[in-house]
Amino acid sequence: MAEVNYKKKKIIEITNVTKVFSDVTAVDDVSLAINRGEFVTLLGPSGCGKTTLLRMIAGFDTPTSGKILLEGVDVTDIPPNKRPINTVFQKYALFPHLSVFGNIAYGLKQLKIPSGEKQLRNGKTKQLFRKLTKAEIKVKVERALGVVGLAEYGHRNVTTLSGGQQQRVAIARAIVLEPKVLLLDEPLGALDLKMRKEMQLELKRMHNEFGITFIYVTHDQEEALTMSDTIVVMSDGAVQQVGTPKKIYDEPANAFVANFIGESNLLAGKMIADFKVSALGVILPCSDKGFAKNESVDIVIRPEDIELIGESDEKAQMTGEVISSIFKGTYYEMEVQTGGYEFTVQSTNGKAEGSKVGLYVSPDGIHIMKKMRSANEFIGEADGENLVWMCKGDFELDLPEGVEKGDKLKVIVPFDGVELTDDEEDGVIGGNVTQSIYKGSYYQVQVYTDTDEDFFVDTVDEWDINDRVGINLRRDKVKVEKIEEETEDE
Amino acid sequence: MSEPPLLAKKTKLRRALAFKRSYFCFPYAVLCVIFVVVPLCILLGFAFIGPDDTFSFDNFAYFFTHAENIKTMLFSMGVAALTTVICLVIAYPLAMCLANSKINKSALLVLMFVLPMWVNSLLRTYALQNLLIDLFGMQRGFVSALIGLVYDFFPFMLLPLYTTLANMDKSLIEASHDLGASRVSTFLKVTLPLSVPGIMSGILMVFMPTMSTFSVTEIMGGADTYMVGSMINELINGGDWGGSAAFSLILLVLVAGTMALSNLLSKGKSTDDALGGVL
Repeated sequence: MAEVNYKKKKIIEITNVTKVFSDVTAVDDVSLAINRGEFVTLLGPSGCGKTTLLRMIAGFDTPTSGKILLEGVDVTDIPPNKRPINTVFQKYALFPHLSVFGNIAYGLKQLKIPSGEKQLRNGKTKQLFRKLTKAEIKVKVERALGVVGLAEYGHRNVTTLSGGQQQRVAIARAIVLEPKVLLLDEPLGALDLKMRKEMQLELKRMHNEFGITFIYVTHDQEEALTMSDTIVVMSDGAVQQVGTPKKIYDEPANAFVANFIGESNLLAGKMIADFKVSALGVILPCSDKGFAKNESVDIVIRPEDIELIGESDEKAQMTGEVISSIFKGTYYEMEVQTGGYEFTVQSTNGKAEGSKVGLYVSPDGIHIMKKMRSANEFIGEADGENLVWMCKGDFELDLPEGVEKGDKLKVIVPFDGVELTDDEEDGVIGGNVTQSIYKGSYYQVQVYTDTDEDFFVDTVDEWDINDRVGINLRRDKVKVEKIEEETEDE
Repeated sequence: MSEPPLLAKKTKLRRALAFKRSYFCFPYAVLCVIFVVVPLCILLGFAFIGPDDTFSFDNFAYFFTHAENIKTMLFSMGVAALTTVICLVIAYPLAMCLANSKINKSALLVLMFVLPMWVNSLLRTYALQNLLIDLFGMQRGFVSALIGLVYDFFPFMLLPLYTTLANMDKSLIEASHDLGASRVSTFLKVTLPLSVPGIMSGILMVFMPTMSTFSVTEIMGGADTYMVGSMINELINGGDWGGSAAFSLILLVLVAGTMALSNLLSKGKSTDDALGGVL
């Protein structure tokens, strides 16, 4: 039964795959199933683990733990040359010492095809294999060249080709082997914009034509939305959301996805009741339910879902002033300043700069997401009176009674319990700003410390990504708990 | 009214005196003239001066009419070729290991192999002599001379090979595996062809100096390792400037010929590539 199932649908199954490079976790417990014939895109910012995941599917890297199944067969430890999977490399990796023809024929020359059976003396039959003949190779290479539109280029030296042509050769070299899965690692990254758009359509066409499963890696959300059947959004080595482009755009699973895909207005809010959310001091009807009462949530409103109406219109949920209005060809992009937030609005109905408007968002346009985390939690150690040693820094915090030096502590730091300083020296420890998302009245900033920990910080100041900052904790906001160890009982 | 022409004159002068970047090569040009061009002219002169101080081909005639001279020259080429092959066979696998960042995490390991290059070759050779012949009681002869030559010129083979292999795009190897090639076949079809420039320069760097060496063979070898370098040395010591100059010139032509040939070979290969070379 199971096998029939595999043949029908899932071609690749990734189960609990983790990859650790010396001390960095590149891919963190990822599970994913990919259906046959699909165009799947692994999307995420650089360093999110998407390329590592692809390399593990190709066989260049072996997972630290977890399994990769291809058509139900475990291929985790099978070397790349034994997998029916081919790759189009980021910088093409064409062989410079071979012609276009030679590059495409390279894989075919390695190929061994069944050529009948031989009766062995002990009664068993032995499968015989042979290499492809020159004529067979020629036919296949020429067909592949035709498919990528380079029919007359077989004799050319690959180093004399343009980027787009090299790209086509790389694709031809991979598809000529008729792989079950084609992996593409940011293949359009080195092309200029116009060429990229052309190749996007071309790749989509090829995908439809061959019926091969494509797994495509990119950091370009537009590319992902244009081409994919399914998008896998990744961040920090973990899958954030899997879904169709439309679903991911319309119903992002969390603030990261919402912020990464498309433009969005992100607000912090509270669920008052089912179908009712409070944000920026008003209560907005929405179409989501199932949250705890007064649960803190993130709200995403896409720029095109905001309707600009008259200031005194009864429908208006908020009022504001248009502070900029730019015509973008088919629509206007406007910044509307309301009491507590600057909304980005896209509309065909342009309003002049300085005009007062009312804003209305229909319940369908408001999407509620669970907050990713509600407090930072760290493990530290008591390091003297009112001192906690954690993340390689001594923080001055109030300790609960009965804590002695060396005791293990749990430190709970709410998002507003962290203070960032411009000068790293002014903080107890330092870190890099890795993310900054505007949430309406404040920014949610993520700071990555040298000890491989993340601090989430709510702050009214804007911090630039990649800035070095110092981290201080507010003594009045932080809660410290003693971790009871078993040895204590003795 | 008279000012403009004066100004023009000034700028002209200034321009003429202005420092140009090409002036930086003057010191080297001077050195080159003194230590390369002039000696070569002298060499040419001596080579074509006969015993009676007139222009003649006597020195060359002497070389080509005496079989032992040609034999020594051929023997030198043979020794140089053997040294080169041994160096290549030892250095290539080592260079592959060193170029693999998994094995050689820092470039420090390479330094260890190149370090002997920083010590004077004569010193090193004497040290080796002490070790092999005096300490281990090895017989002075062809084998000990060969060991000395390989030891002396090994870094010159290793370094170009290492550089070529380390700079090779690793994704090409991955692409080859990806397209179904085994490790052996990837080595033969990708790594080896792409490292040809490194192999070529390694061969040149070892073959040419080995051919004319005399110190190593003198110190490490015996009567059966009489090379062209020793021959020229003996001629000079015997006061036969004409003969030594002629021999040196022949050696020079041979070495230059080897270089030209190898250049031609590698160039021929690249034009082949440009034309496509359909399989």
